[in-house]
Amino acid sequence: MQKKKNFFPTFLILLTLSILLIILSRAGYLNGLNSILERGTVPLQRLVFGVISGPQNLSDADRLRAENSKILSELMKQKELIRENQALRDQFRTANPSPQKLLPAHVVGQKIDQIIIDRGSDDGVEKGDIVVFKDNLVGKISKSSARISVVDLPVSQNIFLTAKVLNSSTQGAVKGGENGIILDNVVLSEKLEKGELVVTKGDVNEEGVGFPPDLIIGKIISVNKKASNLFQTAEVKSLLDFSKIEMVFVIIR
Amino acid sequence: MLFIFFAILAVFTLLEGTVTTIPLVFISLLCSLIVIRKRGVFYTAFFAGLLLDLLTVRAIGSTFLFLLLFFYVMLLYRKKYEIVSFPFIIVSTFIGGYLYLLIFAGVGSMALSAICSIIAVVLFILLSLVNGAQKQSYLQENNI
Repeated sequence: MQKKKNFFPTFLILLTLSILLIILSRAGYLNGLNSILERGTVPLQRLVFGVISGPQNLSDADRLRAENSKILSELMKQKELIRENQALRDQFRTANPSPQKLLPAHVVGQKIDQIIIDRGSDDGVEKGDIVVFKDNLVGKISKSSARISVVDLPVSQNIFLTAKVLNSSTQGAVKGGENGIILDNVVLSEKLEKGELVVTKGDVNEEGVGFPPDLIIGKIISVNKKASNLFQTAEVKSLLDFSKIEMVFVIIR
Repeated sequence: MLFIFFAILAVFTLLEGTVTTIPLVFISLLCSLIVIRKRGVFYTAFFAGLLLDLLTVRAIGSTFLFLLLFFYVMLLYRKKYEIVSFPFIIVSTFIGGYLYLLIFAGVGSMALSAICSIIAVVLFILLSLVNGAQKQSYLQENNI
């Protein structure tokens, strides 16, 4: 910029370098390098996420402030272990999905409609794998690198799956978007009611890709039924608070 | 000045890689490019882009490619327009933020793009103040 006339060659070199990196990355030649670099970035990411999401768990902070810092630190570590242990126990007691296929993962980042977990292709996680917590649907792996993966939550516009209302024959399609989770394509003759649970219908293919049946997507909080429309829709709210979730389970193929 | 720039960039990179979809790295680099006016910002963008790609599981190099192309096009306009100005900062971060979200988040958001412009204005003021104060102190120290 100081030597304005000379910047174009630099620009071309940088442009070529970035395009080359993208090609190598897409072809998978940088997976090894990714894996090494992510050894450093994943703990950092987890630390930052812990610091930022920490204030949500500070309701007892005033009571604990009086205790000395060492005991507090020990207590926090113990609590975390208990929480993890409880989550693991609950998950492995759940009959659906089958516990043998589950891989525990910590949440290390969160966006509006995505979470980032600390498991990647090195752990056997692949794009399209389903993520659950107990028998609730958390989302679907949209991107996976060596040590971390991105999970699209049900509110993401990338999510589209067939669903049914629990204990009835009503079926529809669930899709995410700006308005949250919507149960769509439900014929007008079917009856939808507030509070009913919506679960996955199940669309796993021969390769094991897809949503397993009977995972809870959420409960109906409002129904939009108009005689002039072909279908009725319903707004669905997940039973999980995605902003507070710390541990999830990936269903490995 | 450089310390503040790197500190802001490091914090913004970690925040964008962990908890937000707002293109904070893009905003901080754009403001720095306008205020600092050094080629080094491009090299910094390269490393910040790589780190961001790692944290957000993007194809390595894709963030830098966007930053490089956008900043280059932006700099082409410096002969036509006064780029060190609020209108330019607001418009460029709004357009850049919208494109960035469209490409990397899959959806363009007017609201988030507007937030980008607000953050950019605040950051531009901050960096300009620090830069101005530094220049002032340099002139005084050297009795110029």
